[in-house]
Amino acid sequence: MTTVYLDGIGIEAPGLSGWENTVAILRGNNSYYFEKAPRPTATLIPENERRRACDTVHLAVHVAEQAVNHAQADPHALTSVFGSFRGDLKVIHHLCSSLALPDRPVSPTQFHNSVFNSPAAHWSIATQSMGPSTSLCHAESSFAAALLSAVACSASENQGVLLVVYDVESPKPFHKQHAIDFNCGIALVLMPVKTANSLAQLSVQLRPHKSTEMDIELNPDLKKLIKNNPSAQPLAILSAVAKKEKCEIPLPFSDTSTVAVEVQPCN
Amino acid sequence: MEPLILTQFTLTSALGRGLSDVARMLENQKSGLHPCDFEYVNLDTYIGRVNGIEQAPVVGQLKKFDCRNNRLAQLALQQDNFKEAVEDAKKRYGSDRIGLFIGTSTSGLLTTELAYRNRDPVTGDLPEDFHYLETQDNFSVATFVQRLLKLDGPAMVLSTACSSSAKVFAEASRFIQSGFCDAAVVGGTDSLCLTTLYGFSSLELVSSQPCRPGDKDRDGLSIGESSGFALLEKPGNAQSTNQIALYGYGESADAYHMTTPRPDGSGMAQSMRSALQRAGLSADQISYINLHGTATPTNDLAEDKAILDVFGSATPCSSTKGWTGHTLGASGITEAVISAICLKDRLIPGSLNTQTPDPDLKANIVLQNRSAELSFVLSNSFGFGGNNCSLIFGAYS
Repeated sequence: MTTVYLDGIGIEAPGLSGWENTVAILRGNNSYYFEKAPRPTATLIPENERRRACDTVHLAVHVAEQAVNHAQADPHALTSVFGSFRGDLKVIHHLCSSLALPDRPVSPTQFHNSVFNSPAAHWSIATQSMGPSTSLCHAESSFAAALLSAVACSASENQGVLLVVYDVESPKPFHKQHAIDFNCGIALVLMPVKTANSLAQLSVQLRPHKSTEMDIELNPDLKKLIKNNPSAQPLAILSAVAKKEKCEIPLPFSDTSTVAVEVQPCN
Repeated sequence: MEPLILTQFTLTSALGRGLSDVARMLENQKSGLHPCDFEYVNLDTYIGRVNGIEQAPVVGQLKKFDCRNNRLAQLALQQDNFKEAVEDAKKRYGSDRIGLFIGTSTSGLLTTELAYRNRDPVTGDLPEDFHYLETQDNFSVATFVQRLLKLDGPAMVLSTACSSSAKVFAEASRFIQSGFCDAAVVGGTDSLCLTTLYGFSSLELVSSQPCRPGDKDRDGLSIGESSGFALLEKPGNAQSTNQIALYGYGESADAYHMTTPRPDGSGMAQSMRSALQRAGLSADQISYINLHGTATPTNDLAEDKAILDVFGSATPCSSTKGWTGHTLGASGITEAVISAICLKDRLIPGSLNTQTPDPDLKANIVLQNRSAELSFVLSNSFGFGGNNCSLIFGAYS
């Protein structure tokens, strides 16, 4: 069992924008309505880069900034772990469309946006953070993998970690390929020790048995978000944090394993 | 950190299949680069292509995974008794206690590029025989390798451009140290595709000649493909005759630019210093540095400044990309395996293809192969977005 403390949260998903708005909905004080919002703009990114940045960059950097502000953390002191199921398929769509043309006119901007670690790189550039940064995936269990990576880093290196997961609407040609039809980005600041800003203690364990789905109590509309965009999976944890309820969340990880997260709210 | 033994390792690249091909080509100073003959690419460039991928499809139960990248991983896993070493480790640890960490930059992207030529003219849909999850998806190679090796431990794909398969060593170390697994298969696979060939060309980073790292006339990289794997275990549990160990890793971000390294090399220096610190070594204990050395003007200059800052100008160093080309997301494992071969064979490889060293580079760039007793070797991998990773390997006694 490896323990970290959740100090800050950033979120942009349909009907959920920022922690303040989200916490009221998760507590049931406000009703939830599924409503797609325009993709946020990451104002942290310098203007000349902002124009060229792709959807995943804007979404991931925007929620990362929210989380770091919420935690009142110094971004330079945080290692970052970015996870995504699909990366940015819109960029892949543009590149592959160009490459299907006779003269193959590849745009250098699209090419540099195509690297999977583009959001993480833009975050480090925007915040001038020179600490380690990892970008990873594990298909629909990318959040579980990123969480394991973050707690392994926190535990073995006694390091605060910014964890960001993001997945955006799939471009049309991929609509038969497990398409995602809305944007969702969630960022968590995780600390190795409890601080004055800690919202909850998360104890993470890798269990050698399969979970087919996340067996949790959650508003059915929010459950639908999780089902339709893997980067919404942290909502299960956030719901417990919002309600200040102790609970255990099983994150499906592989055919033979589950990442179990025990949430213990701090005060 | 506690060293981790590389119980077994393997590499398939333009130098051939398996360790003996790599060692022979290194010793003979023979490059694997040749004029680009990939697909119908009309670029004036050299590539490091693996022969025979076209004749080695993925068949049987895993045939949906058939794509150039997974074919290359399959070929690599057939060499150097690697599968047998993993089978042996499974008996010792159990298949659920062995982690799998793979680096790739472009996964099965070539399959998508080709599928885009066959989209439905009316709907724009991709063809029915396009299997997204098994080819294009970045996790595809991990699922494929996991099924080939029948591993059940924690798995992930790291994709940080050209540092991807160096960072797998760092990630595996943390997972082992945190108790999420007891041993790990780490590796990387990146295969030729049109996006990287045309993309690097659009950035004017590709040479029309075989790449010349550190040369005064260097004008860009040669793109290659490769796949390599290593089995990592704690000392004491490992049953190995190789006895090469990972002693340290360092990671940093440049926080500077998407495609250009921080010119003063300070991000790269931070990565190397962090690796030395984790290994508990001083700079003068490193006998040889395997440079990232892509042969682009900016990379080699920034890396030189970083080397000078951390090591001074005495430590022998060279890039081996003149042999393999830049294998992008697989360059970390490629050069980790080359570093291990150098340690075993007591070889400092010369910087192949380098004719006239750039007078602006002050590091001790070795031009000809030479024999030397090596205690520790440091290997650098730096990726787009300024993602840096340095690894230190040494003989384990």
